Amino acid sequence: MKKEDFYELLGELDAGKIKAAEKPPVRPLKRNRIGIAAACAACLALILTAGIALHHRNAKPSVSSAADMSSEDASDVESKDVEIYYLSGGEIRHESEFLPCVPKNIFASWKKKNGIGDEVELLGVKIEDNGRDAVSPDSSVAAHTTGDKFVLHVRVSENLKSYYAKIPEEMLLESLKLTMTGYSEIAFDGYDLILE
Amino acid sequence: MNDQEMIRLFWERNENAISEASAKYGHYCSGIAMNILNNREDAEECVNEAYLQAWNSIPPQKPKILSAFLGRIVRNLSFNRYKQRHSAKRGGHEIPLILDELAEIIPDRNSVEDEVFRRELKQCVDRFLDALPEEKRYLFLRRYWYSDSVTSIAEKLGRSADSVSVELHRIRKRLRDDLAERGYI
Repeated sequence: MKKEDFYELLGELDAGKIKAAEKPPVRPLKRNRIGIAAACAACLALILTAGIALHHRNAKPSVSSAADMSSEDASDVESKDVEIYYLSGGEIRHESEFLPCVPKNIFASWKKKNGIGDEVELLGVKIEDNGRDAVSPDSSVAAHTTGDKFVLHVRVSENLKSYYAKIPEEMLLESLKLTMTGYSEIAFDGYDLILE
Repeated sequence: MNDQEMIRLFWERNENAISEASAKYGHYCSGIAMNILNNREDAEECVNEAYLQAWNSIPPQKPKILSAFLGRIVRNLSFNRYKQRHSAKRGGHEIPLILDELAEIIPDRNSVEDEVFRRELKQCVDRFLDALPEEKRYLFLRRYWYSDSVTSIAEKLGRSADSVSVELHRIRKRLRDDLAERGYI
């Protein structure tokens, strides 16, 4: 292919992407990460001092960089225009909806737009980074250093698969990925969908 | 005026549609044309021609995203103008560099590709961009869709031109590898 033809071909890329590139993306600010790290450290220190975390039977390993957002209350969260991706006419389209930035609301909107029933559930959403935890030798102080790679893990009930017969699987899952990774201001380096 | 109202003016064949589009998107369209042509007179002509093309195509078309719709027309017209001028060795300071960079992704050779191949290749590039982190996708589109200079992209992102160049090189390599893996090159 001639390079001129390739340049022209790029001109036909999806209009939504072209629109999105009109403005620079909002980068996760370093000070926000530091703020998150500081908050995590403070929480962990408090927990450790109180001696709760170490004795909790079901306590998970300290992954303070991971946030289970599925339990957030929509009333506590700022609403904004969120792009919801859906399939229409054999292609992925998207539309803005003014929603609280809570995964369960966004997922519900995605389901509605794609004709997915209520039996399909969002089981959890977790952001994981490559940061690390450090606890002082006497366990009195803990600190978390936030990493620079972010992976979004989305858990959805397995019955989503029952829709593959009428909706192309690849496009459906792509629309979910675009929706779930798009509303946050974090530029994710990875995405992981688990059906269970 | 919002885009939906503007599109309604086009549909009603109201000539204010063009002046409204020009007021809102004139700067945007001129920027694209200037990036490609580096010549104000040519750029203005292409932008004016783009409004006329938009007038002739809306209706029947009803663009979902007016800016991208107008931008695409301007990009096509400007690149056609660039090709005419290029044979006479004029204009387009940035485009030769961009085309050479694109040749790193797809080997620059005379070959006949059918419409199906083009469509599949476009979809493949679309999917590749979907999978990129937002900032990398922004870099790629500003460089190869909007034809921005590396310096201009660096300024927009508050980064150094060198780091933008390196990042673009990596993205091109990833795209080339991706296309090779899928058998497009």
